[in-house]
Amino acid sequence: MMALLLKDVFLMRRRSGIMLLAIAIFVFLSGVQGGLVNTVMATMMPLMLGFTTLAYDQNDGWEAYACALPFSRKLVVQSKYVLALGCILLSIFLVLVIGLLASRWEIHTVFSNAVTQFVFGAFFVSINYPLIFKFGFEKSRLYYILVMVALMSIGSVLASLLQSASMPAFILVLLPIASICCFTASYLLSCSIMKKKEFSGS
Amino acid sequence: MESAILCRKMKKTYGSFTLDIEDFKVATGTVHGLIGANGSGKTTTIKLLLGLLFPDSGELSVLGSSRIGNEAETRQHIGFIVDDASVPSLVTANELAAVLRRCYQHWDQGQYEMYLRQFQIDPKKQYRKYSKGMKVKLQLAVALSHHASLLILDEPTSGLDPLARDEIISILSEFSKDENHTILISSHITSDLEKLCDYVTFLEEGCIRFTEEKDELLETYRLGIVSHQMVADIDSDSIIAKREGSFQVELLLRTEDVPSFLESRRLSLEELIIFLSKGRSAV
Amino acid sequence: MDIILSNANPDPIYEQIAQQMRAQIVSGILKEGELLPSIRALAKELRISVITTKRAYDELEREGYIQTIAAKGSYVAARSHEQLKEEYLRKIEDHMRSIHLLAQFVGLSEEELAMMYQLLAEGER
Repeated sequence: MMALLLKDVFLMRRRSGIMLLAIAIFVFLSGVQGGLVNTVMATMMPLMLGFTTLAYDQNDGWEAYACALPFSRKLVVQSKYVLALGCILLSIFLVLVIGLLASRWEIHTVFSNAVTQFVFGAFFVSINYPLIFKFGFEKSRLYYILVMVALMSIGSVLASLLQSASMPAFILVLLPIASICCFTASYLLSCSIMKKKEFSGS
Repeated sequence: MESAILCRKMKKTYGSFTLDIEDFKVATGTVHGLIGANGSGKTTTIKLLLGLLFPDSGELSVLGSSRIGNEAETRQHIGFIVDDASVPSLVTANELAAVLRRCYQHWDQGQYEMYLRQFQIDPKKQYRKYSKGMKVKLQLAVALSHHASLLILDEPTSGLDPLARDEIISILSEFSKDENHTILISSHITSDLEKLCDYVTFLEEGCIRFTEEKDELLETYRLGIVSHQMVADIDSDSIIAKREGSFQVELLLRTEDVPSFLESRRLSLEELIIFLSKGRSAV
Repeated sequence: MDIILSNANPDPIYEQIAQQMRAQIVSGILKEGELLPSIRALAKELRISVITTKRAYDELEREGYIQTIAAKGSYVAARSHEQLKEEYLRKIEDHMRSIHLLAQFVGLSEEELAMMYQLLAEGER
């Protein structure tokens, strides 16, 4: 799997440019100001870096190439999910650090930020990745936009609830657990999709 | 292992195309060519052999593995070139090596660098900036740099100029000098296969028309060129195919059927395939 | 060892190889005990199939011109150059005897026979 992750690092290194700037901006805003949009964007930007490697993989013919290399198909899926997870955790970490530096010490805010980020990222991956593995990046584009819209609307409702101090604490624990379950289920679904995938070509 | 590749009653349908392989064997230590027009099923066959497609029915065995798509271990010993399966566009040859070194147990960095030098590939250049010929050469360099015992190559010489093609044929010839090395190579450039192959399989519309030992195949037929009147002098049963021109008629006959008064010559593999293709009129 | 294959030659390729090797062994160009190229190396150099070179070598081995030792290779068999020449002379004598008989049936004189041979030799050149 290290080999596959290394390949993604090479890809991301080349495409980062503007992305890094955008990441820096949103992480800063989220850490210092907070707010739903900033937090979500602070997660989305790093996630997109990992996400676009998927697009490149399919477009370049690497997905097929990797399946003919001595990688198990499960490993190919695994590397993509691990990468996505890494991006989510990275975004949480960055926002946390900036937040602490900006002296926003309230445990509740910090924690709810992290949860929002994690939940949002996990659901995004859980829903989109299997779609892309199954239908390809191009065909899933429409679904992907719909999913984004749905997530955003549900997310904004949830987030405003989260941000308010009157939220029962157990929700803060329930949501991450639910998203972990979804993430895992999505991973298993993607593995099963990849196992049967055929590359008949363009 | 006697047969590096074995296919029996293997069928695959998608869209309007059906591949139906009754019996196909590639013996270990041989170079086996797959000839056919575009759309005849060469690429489909090769994808099935690499586990990129799954057969609808039938038996398929590659290096002893009957589930090549699911057995990564066997693929350690296979070097390949297939259309639609390619190197990431933004990656350089050096970066690719860093990835493959961690994937192939027997990766030979020295050999890889030697091929890069020979093919004049800039190791720091991104793949998307390569010319078509260089792209194929890089894939070949990869295929030859992990001590593979089986090469499965789909049209490795198409799009290359004659000099590059000759270079690649020589390299493949060198590879095949080892009796444990096997090559399956598909091409529509018949002249390349003629130089390299021990056996030739002709695919047409998804079916195998024949599999023959190459030299024996070329020995079996003769080409006779006669005037229109002379055609009548020749026993029509022995004419396998003919091509009528404005000034002459070309006849395909079995060597033993050539009458003594007729001057004949051997055909090149390309000429033979053209004659034996369905488009030609069999008498 | 030189092997030149000709597309114009009506003999199958394995026969052409065998003929040329026989000639080189008999004339002493290929020496007794000399190591011959492997069937694979020969096939690749001549751009023909390994099956064909194997067939040529098998025939030469059957006729006693070469010997193949497993895992080592093929060698020119230990027969003296003189012995081989003797065999060929014997074959020529046999053919001559048959020609002599046939000539007698047709009533060909020795001079006419000699002329026929000359024409044949000139034609080959």
